[in-house]
Amino acid sequence: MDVPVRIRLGLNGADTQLGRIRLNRRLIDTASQHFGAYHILEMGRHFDDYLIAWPPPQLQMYYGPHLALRRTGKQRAPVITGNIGETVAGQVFRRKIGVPISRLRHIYPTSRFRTPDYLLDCRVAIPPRIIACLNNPANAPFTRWPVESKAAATAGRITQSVRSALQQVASYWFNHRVTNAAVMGYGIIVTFQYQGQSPEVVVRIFEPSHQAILLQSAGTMTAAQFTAAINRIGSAERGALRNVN
Amino acid sequence: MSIDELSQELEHWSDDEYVLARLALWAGDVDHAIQLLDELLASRGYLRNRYPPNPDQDVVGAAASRLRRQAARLRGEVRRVAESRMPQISDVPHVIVDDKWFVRATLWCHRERRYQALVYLSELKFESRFYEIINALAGPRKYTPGSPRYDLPSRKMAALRMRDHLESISEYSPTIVVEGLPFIEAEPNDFGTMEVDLIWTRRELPHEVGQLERPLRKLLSRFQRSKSPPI
Repeated sequence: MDVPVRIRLGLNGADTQLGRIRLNRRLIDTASQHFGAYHILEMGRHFDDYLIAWPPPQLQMYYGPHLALRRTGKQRAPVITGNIGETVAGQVFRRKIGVPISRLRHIYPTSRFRTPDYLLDCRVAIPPRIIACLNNPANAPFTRWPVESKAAATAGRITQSVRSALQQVASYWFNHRVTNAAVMGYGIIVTFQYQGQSPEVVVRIFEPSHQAILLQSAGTMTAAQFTAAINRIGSAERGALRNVN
Repeated sequence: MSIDELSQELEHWSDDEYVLARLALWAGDVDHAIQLLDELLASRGYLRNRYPPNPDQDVVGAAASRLRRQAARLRGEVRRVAESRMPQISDVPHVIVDDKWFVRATLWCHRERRYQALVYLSELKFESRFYEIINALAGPRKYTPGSPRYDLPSRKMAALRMRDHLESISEYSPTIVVEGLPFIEAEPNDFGTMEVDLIWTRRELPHEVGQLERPLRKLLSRFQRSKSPPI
């Protein structure tokens, strides 16, 4: 499947097209060995089975009905779709944003703390495609940026996933409010919507419009209050992120 | 360590060993991965058997610590698997390394006549050179890391979709082929790694690992550090 990739600032900024990315079994198999958090054999087969709702007419002779029917009685495993999201995000960073291997850290999850899926190391340079999205690139911090990735079937599910991802990114901001205040408000969420009329990958870049408000709130709130405030429509904290409210 | 000191340190700590350890684990080069993770933990002043003191601050350090414990547990398992599958190769997993190279490789046996080497970048500063050399060795299909190999005009894309489902994307990947015994086909990917298939084409089986290793070393010797390494 070849999927359009778009990049935007915040949740509702204008889109910039980054072309299309070709995703297939082979590519997913290889990428998931490097980027998926869970050990899943033959991720490529899961990718085919989970994502191809029904084979196109010219391929039905190869697939037959059995694949789709076999899945009818089962749900997709969240761990697998999560892995697909991470894998696609890794591919997008490499191919569409031009991030070198040395700058992308896939974070091996720890059991005690929720961690971002990736840290993008911008200590030396910020990728030009990300800089181009920012409203105020001169303020962008040269530090590690948190990255969350999600995959979901439909646009509605993607909206829910983005809420959860933003909460996770906000949790990273909260934890670093003292040791790395510069990162407050900066982060990336990559989503992969794989069904519906138009499958797509969207890269959302977050930038603060009023970093001081975020820092002040993080200094006075608990982690749960802060992350909830970031997701509450109309809150001052949400308003302190560009193109989010 | 005070908060101020921690903030200073966090920005300067290198994460490269973590990235390299992940590549080494992909290749099953477990001992080397553990060594890299130990270096990373030591450089941060962490004890290797203890959880880092600030895991929510130093996310990479915490991940490295967890990965190190997991790798140590898996080390024994990898050895057992390798020994059961490679009876003619005693030193397992068989690591192929040279001080002059910026890649490392592990050699694995799939069947009597089919072997696979997993090659990975062992110095991150040579990433672009890795792909330059691949392009020099590959046939007409060239590879540019970070740029879309599969970005073709949409008309061509539609025509390719059918083939894609049938898994013939290799047509669009650069491969390195070395004729001889064993026959070698290497396929690089986006992640600083390369899968090298070695097919033993004689009826008589190889009787020592050198028969596989020598041609492989010849190929890997192309991945040498240049006199002036790229930045």
